[in-house]
Amino acid sequence: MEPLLSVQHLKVTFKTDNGLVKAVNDVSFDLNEGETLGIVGESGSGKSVTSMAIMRLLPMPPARIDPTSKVIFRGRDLVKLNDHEMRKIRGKEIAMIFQDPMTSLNPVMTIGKQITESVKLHLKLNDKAARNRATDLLKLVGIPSAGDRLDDYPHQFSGGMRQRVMIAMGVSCDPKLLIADEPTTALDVTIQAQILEVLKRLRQELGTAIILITHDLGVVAGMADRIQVMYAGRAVEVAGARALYANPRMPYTIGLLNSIPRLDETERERLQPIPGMPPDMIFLPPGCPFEPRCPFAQPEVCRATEPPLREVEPNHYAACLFDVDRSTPPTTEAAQPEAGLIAAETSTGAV
Amino acid sequence: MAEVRRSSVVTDTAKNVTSLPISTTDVAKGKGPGKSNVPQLEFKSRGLWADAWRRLFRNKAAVFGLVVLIVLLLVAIFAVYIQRYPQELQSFKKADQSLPPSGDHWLGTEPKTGRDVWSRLVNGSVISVQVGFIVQIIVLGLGVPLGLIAGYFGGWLDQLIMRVVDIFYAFPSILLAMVMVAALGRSTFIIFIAVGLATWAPMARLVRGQVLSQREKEFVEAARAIGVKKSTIMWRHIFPNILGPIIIAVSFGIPDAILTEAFLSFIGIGAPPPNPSWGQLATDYRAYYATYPLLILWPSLAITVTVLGLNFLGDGMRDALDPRSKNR
Repeated sequence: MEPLLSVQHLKVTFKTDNGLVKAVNDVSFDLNEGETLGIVGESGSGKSVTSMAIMRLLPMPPARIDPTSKVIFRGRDLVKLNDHEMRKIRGKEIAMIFQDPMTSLNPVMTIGKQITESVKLHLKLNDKAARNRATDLLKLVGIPSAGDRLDDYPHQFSGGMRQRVMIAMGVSCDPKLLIADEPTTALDVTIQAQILEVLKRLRQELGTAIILITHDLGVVAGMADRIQVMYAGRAVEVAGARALYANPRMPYTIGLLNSIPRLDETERERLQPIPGMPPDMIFLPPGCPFEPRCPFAQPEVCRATEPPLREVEPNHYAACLFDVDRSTPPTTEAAQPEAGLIAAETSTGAV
Repeated sequence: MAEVRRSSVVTDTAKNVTSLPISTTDVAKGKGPGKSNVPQLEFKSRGLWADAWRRLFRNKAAVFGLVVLIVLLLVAIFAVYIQRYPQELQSFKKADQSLPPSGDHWLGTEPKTGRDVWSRLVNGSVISVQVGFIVQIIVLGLGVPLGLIAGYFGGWLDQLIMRVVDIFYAFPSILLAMVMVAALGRSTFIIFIAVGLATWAPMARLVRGQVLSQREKEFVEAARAIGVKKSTIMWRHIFPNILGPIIIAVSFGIPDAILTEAFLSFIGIGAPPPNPSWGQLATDYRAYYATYPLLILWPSLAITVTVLGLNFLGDGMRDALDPRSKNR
């Protein structure tokens, strides 16, 4: 089956005064209809830039999408569309939910006006029909007395409710693909759970494919079918959600999973942070970008070759030259952290 | 005692809230009936502008300014009915001297011409109002679109517009107006254009700065993400968000323009006679400050009260539209 979205060799760079920032380096992935892909990574790993590149929302310049990149969505290459054609896709076929619901609603427009804007634009509904649709949408995302709240302003809504409104706006034109960029990061934990619940329900009812971008492995765990871990602008591990949590095969993912608390921990262990800092995106280290922080690194090999994403198990891809997993013992000379504070943290952790 | 005080405060605010245009239209849109069965714990349907109005009415100086503005407008519009004598009417009964204020001539008459001072003052308000408003229309017409374009589209267009703004900024506004009047002749129309051209640059700069800060907001990104056109984003999403600062700038711009015109008239290059602008009257009556000191008081008082009142109003609007002064 033809995938809904196929990102091929996506490369995005930003021109800055200090040099060229290579934000996304050759990322490829497919997304099938109705599938949920979680993209996980720390700040600056290129996950948001990937989504913005798909939507073509990056300011260009300074951003630049490499002309060899392809973003095939329903048979059309989005990178090659002009502004007018792209506008027809945004909101109608691909919609986006942003991180901070407090700032992503226009403070001087009523909620109703903001929701109807998209349906009037794309579905050419008249005022009355658009209003009815907006009411239905608010009901769908679980806002009580939806019809009455259309004339309210954003400041009369709480953070969680605003994010519901954002989701309502996102799905207002029945998009094929919904990109949720850190949709729960700005919300507290109970609201997070509610918002994820809303997304799950919508996925079931509308059959929308979702790209869920987050730095929180816990958020994608219950939500995503497949997870792509990103580091330094590369996809470093791609696997089904279950497989990834059960058996991470890339040292970075292993590090990430070791650094979050687990409910099923039998003995009380210290969390192990990943030592060091993410690499400078202007001067990427040669070879594997994770090598300087990797506990399993063998510098002479790892610095020489950039590890490709290879299939380590059926449908489980990892970008590491070695077959590592959680049981692999760390190589001795590596894992020597540089920064003092983090060093203290890890050494006590090891004792 | 305390009881009485509190209740009077409550009715006071209640009156203000209900008399506001926005909250009443919200109620009219059908929010009323559906709401009744739901218990409401928070203040409902008070829009941003309704909030601002409420704060403005709490500010006594601003209310004074509003009254001044309304009186000024009424006097200017109905000048012919309030003047009591046509301003050209000259009384030669005792033409060589000024008559003191009396029942016939509320503010007395001018020496030499014997014209009624009240009539001249009332007719002078027309020029002041015209200057105040027409100049602001020019300022808005030039400053807002250019500022929006420069701020939102950026690039070479921004550079071009802002360099032109810089050129206008470099001239002192009074000097620019003087040069224009000197070059193009003395007429009321030229005065409007001159003062307008001399004061549009700060508006363009203000609008551009506001747009620059607004266009980075996430809701603009969100609007782009649903496929809204650039021009629509500019007018529908960004422009309403910068209305506050623009309104404040206008409310300060009106008294500034009135003052500039009065000054130009005072040094003899303002609205040409026989149009009795207040500045012109002040110049004329200055000659008699030793013999009839009361005369110069009237135009000066008119200018002072108007400019002061409008500045109070501007101050009040700034406070009212500032969201950080939420509960003042």
